[in-house]
Amino acid sequence: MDNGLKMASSGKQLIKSMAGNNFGDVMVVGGGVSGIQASLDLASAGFKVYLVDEAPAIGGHMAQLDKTFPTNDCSM
Amino acid sequence: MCTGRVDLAHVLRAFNNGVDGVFIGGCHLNECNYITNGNFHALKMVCLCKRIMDHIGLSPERLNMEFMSSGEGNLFVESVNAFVNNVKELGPLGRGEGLDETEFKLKLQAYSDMVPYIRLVDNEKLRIHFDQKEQYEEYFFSEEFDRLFNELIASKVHTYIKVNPVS
Amino acid sequence: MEGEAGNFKVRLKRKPRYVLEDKCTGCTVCVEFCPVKFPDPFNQDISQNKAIHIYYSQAIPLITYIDESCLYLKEKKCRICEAVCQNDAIDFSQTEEFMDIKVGAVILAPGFEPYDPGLREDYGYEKYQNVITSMDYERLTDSTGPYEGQVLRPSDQQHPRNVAWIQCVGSRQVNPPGANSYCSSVCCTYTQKQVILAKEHDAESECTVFHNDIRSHGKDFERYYQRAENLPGVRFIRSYTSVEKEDPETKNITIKYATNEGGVKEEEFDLVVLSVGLNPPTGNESLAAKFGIELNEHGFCKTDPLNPMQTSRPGFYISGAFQGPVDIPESVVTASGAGSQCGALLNYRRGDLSTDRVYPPEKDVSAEEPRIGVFVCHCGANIGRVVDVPSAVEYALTLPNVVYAQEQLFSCATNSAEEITEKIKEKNLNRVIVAACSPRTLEMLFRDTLREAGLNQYYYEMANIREHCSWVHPKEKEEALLKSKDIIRMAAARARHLEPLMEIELPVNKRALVVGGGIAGMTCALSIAAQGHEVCLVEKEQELGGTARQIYHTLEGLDVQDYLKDLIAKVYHHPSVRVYTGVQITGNSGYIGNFVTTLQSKETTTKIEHGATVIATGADVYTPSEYLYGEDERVLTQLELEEKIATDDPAVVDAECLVMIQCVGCRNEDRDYCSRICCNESVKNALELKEKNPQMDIYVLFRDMRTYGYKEDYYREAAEKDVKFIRYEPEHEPVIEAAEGEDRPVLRVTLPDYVLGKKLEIDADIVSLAAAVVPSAGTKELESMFKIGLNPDGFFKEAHVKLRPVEFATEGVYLCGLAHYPKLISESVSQACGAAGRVLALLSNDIVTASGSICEVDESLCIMCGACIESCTYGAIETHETPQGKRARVIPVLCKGDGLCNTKCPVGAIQLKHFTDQELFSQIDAEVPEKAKTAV
Repeated sequence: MDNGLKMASSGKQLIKSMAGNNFGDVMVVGGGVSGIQASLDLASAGFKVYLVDEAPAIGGHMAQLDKTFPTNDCSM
Repeated sequence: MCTGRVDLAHVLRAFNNGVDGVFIGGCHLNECNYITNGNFHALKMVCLCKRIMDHIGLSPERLNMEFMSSGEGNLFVESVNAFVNNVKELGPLGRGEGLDETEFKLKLQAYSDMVPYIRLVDNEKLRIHFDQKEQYEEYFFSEEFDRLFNELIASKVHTYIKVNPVS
Repeated sequence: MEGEAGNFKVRLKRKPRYVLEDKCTGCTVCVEFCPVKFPDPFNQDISQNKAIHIYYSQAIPLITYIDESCLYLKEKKCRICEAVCQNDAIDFSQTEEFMDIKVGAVILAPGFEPYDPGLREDYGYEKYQNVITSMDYERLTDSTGPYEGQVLRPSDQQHPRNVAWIQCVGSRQVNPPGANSYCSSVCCTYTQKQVILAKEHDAESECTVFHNDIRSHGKDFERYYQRAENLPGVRFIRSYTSVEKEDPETKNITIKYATNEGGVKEEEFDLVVLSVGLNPPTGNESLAAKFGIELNEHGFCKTDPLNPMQTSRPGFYISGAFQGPVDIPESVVTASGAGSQCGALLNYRRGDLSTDRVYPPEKDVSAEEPRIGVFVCHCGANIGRVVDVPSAVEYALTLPNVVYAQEQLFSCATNSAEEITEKIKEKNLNRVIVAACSPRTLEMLFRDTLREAGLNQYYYEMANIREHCSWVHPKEKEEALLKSKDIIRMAAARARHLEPLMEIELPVNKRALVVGGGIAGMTCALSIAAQGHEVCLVEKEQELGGTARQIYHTLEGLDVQDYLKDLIAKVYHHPSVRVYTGVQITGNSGYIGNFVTTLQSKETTTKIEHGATVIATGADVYTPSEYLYGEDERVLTQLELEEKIATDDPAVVDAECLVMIQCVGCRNEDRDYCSRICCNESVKNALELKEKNPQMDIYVLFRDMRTYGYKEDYYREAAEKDVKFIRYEPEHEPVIEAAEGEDRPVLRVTLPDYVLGKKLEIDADIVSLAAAVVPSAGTKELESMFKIGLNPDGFFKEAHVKLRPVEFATEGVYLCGLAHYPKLISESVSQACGAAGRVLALLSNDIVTASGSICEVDESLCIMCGACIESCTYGAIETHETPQGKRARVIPVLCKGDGLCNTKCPVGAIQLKHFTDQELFSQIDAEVPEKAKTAV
């Protein structure tokens, strides 16, 4: 939608980073749709998240789907 | 931006530029992404514009509005392809209908100039709302609307053209 | 790993990618030159890929990696990729790395693995070439799949005309061992999806689905089922099947099946698709052992029955399909829910590790001539394969005001976006056009790129030459180039007129309002309160509890009344939760972060200020008019039956014969949806009755038994305990009449039995009706009061059924529980936690920003006719006094930017910023090349 609202706090935004001191709030194991959503929610709510996956890219099985029911939206 | 933002002025401008067809795609009726139901307003505008085109002598089929959701990509492809084929058969704007180019462009310009007035008429006299697309189409080609159109719009445009023969 | 909740240390083993992440641009030259070919697991081994490749075409990160099939890694030979890489991004010296990460909590979301029918050669899989799984089929239809979206069958790469799907492969099976006893929940609906897609790919194809029960128990699923069923050339055949043989020449597959009317039949198909179920993820046992959590008997994570995100170990949560087979909305909901529970655990350290992001100060370029920079993206091959990008770049430079243009391989790649930022500064650009994909995907990213360069983000314009061009005209390269030029020219025309717009920062009130005090409302309220926010919980009845007050046990045997008492006590005792019972909501106004809601009780009016609203208003039960309900006291609804069982009412518990009728009042013309819970409820009641009175004859008259997920085990148990399940078709519904039985007055239920081929007469003492779950009474009022939408069935409509299942399109308002759709208690809890998670994503911020693209009134033109005010459904326009008289004025925070008012204003005084008439006209005019040259 055109007018999505963005969360900001005087320019403060949250960054998930792999570098740094290896100290975070939550580790999410699994980068499929569920892991990705959990990571985004936690990051928006003020936590530092490490998202790990055994594959070279995130997406999980949902990335293999063509379309999703019942809207037939593209899965990607 | 909603299809409710699409204005009569935009459509007339496109045709005035020589475009052969205009296609508007909107959300399904009653499924407006905003709560505005702007697509109903767009549909009303499209019906009105078709009457205007008819009055000028241009085929109203050069303007089309279809409703679909973002998940219906196939429907979009079908609709657009069918529309493009139809417009190709109608031929270039005006020439396909056997009209004189200067004349129909003059009329298009006149209607464009009169858009502010037509908006007033729309706000005051066209406060209608139907649930189905077909009901809009029926109304805009009814005798009741004929009278309204002739009295309040067509005749005024006619006068405007007479007073401003060269656009 | 080691540690405990709040303080874990996890050791990660990071496999070497052999590619330097910050050097690789994803250009794929190395992939072209790599000599090793290997079946690609992402494409289900159907097609081949190289040892060095990008995981899949839209992978994030979009860079290559080298897998074990590499010649150098195996035999120290080759290294061609290193030689051809222009960025020195290949690094064979990389080794395994170990990292110790300290965290406070862990969410496990390892997902599931599709069942592999190859292990037992189910239905000839791996024996016959043209028997494939549904995941194989999914890759075939996908345009990024092995044949670029052509559905070609394995044996001869021809399009299959005649395709069969076999349901329940690997699910709902106890004998022979090796499969799963549960129902995988999603296969019925995904098969309907594949049938619809098959017909889209080939309108002449014939699709046959061999099924048992069709489980369309989700929101909008029933209509989806009908949509698939009504397509021409589609058959749904209820039958067990076996794969008989493969024709040695054509390789077609013969299926044998049985029907009630026609006996045993054999049919040949070009392709057979096995609708495989969902297995636990690979490595589930080692994962569980490593993290010290328990698995259930099916190999999925063992969770608290009423909290599907809570594992057996504190500090560990799960989300998604690791709990058991669930669909995408449930995966998303539990993700937010797990996040919410982490948030409660770690609330004390929220925000401590977040870092500030600072943008450079914005330059004021409003007085400058437009200086447009155009970046034309190849998007790998997506655009570059069709559109001659260098020509497009050359053309862009001929346009007025375009001072710079270049091509990029992937404009969205981190290094490319940085390049744009650099060029803006270097060339003093004050307008930027990226000719690439859709604004829906990347507008936000590129606006951010402009901010990084100190340029107002609304100076950004996107020219879509992918979805609007290369993707839809893949075979017309010349015309596609011409069209790309048109699109770029039109973007440039608009870009000239773009203005800097400021986004508004709004403060966020940290309080939440939860409407509805049932299980969902209470759970959500407690979850929000546990994360440090005040919650007002509002309930129209005098008591909390909602529908749960009428429920005694769950299928798993949990005592719901105890649970409810406990939950209510927690709510009343929580210092941050204020409860208002016996109240009506009489008004609501405001916008995200700043709502005001008015409550009315008998004596008092209260105004509550809050930042977020959660709708948890539950649902009602349909009052049947069929089957003598209301006329004969022996006819009950399921809930009424449940109560009588729990209170040991002798009329029920001592009955000789009890009949349950499913699907009463729904899955019909009046209510075109499935109430989801009734089959489970009936099985539950049947099992409880059998406990109390094993001699009772119990009949369940069903259309489809929808005991999805693990509930399938209870269905099986009921059947084993001699509960009789008889199917009826909607055209021949059961008929009830009061009659005289052999020795007592009965309710005689008659219906045809399709298996026996006869008419059945059952003499029942009690008849229980699975009455539909219907939207609650106050729904329509809430719709207009909170500006939220309803779906065609009258339940609340979420922003997106899959990706935003707990929020409304109206910002700041969230949804959970039965108000969304009928669901089980555990599902309500998931959704309630999910909604709380999303509420926290809002309330944990002090500020919320609203878009700058809103309407503005030019007061010098406004004639105060009021047409705009009347047309605005958000109430965002008001009148105000000026020295020249009354004028219309837009309230910026309420305007949602739809622009309808623009078309109502006779004088064009109100304009939607960023989509003004001037901007739109310039684009329309620019479409005609001659006019563009003279355009202002």
